[in-house]
Amino acid sequence: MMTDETKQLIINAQSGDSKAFHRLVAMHDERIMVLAYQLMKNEQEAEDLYQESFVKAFKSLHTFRLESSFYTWLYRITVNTAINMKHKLARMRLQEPREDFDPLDIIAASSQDKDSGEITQAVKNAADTLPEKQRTVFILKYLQQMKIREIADIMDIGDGTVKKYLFRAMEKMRTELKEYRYV
Amino acid sequence: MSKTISQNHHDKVIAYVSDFMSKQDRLDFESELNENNELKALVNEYKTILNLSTDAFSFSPSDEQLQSQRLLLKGRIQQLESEKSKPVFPNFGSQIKDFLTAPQPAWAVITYMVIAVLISRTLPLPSFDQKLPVKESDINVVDLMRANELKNIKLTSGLNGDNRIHFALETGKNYDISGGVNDSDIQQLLFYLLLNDENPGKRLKAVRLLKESAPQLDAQAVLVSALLTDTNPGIRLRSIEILKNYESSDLIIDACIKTLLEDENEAVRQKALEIISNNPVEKSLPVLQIVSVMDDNEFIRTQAARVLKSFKEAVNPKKIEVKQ
Repeated sequence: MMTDETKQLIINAQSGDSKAFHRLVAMHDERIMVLAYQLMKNEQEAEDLYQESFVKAFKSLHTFRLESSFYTWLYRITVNTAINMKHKLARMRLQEPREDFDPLDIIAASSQDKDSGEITQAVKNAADTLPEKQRTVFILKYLQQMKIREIADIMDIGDGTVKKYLFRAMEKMRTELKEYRYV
Repeated sequence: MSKTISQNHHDKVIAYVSDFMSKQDRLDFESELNENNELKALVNEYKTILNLSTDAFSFSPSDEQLQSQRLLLKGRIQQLESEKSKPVFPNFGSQIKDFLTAPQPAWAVITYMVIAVLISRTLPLPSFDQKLPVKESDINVVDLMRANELKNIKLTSGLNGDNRIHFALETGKNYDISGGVNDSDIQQLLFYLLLNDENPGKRLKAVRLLKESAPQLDAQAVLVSALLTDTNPGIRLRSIEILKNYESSDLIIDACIKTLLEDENEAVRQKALEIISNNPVEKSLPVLQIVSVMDDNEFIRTQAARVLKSFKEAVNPKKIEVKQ
């Protein structure tokens, strides 16, 4: 539910008051930054996503209707921008030369003991194996604690599809993390 | 899959840990759970996955990070607004409209048409036999720069599946040059673009590519120059971000001091403050004193005061390195 203050700030920002927009940013950006980090691979990419998402929000603020949730609207912009950015990054990564790959890195990595860093990496790798939409739904539901209805709104899909993606994502994560099931 | 755990059980477990179940379904499932250890183990397994995922993706941005991003965003939005409010041809639209809506006598319309036909006949036809670019590996880029012969530089990177940077140079002849970001010619061209090109998009691309190159003295001077002179805050910000990775030098510290005192963009000033705070030298003290009181931005003032305090605590002036 939007507070009166948020509503007023949105109205002011829509009529060209950039200070009101920056106040809105300051009120909402912590969660957006966390989401950006979860959607992307590292902090640098998360910061880029933060910037792109808020610039898009600024440009399309006039399309926002006050009866919707501002958070959901921002989340939708962030999720869509993340998908576009990832496609771009994937194209760029494909063009990177293979010489950069150093087998010694793997040997060094495999000789290390299993520690929490390794588990963290394993979980991130497992999440990376999920198809884009399953991964996004997984993040929104389990890491952002959003409701099925909200996720469906953000991703513009039905509730049933959200659940289907969640089932598949969970099963795939279980398969990928078999080794760590008793951690 | 175990004989006693069916796919249906799996779905129920996921629905249970995901909180999809109705109250009644939940109660039924919990009573089944109490009697089936294998099912209980599966629930625990999925819960473990969720806990591990929450831990792996846990992230809490610092105030500094958020503030820095907000300042950067502010700069970008200011730029967007100034671009929006700057008409390419002031009043051009209304002048055309006035001209078109004003009643014109028939003789005037005919005269315009005759003039238009005559002009179109005298205009040269576009040439379709354009020269193919000449590939030259032994051209001297620096000589071309000195002779002010570089007119229209086109820059691409990562095309053709390689990781090379490609330049198309228009001079007396056309040249194609490509190479890695650490190649001397490529670097010279990137420096040239960053410092000379009128197009901020090209300058931004140049500074982004320079970020990939190994730190070196020439690049340091160019980046400092871009930091102090570029009109685009995004380019100044990228330049100072790269300088942050360089080993501290008098040149960098002096540039940061000037930036902290004079740059109009808060994000750039904040980066300058970060570099200064990582490199305690005595000459920064008066600057920090001023900034902690006078900066327009409250966050920068507070940060400057904090850095100043930590510097002063280290003064024990012996602990602060005095650079001449």
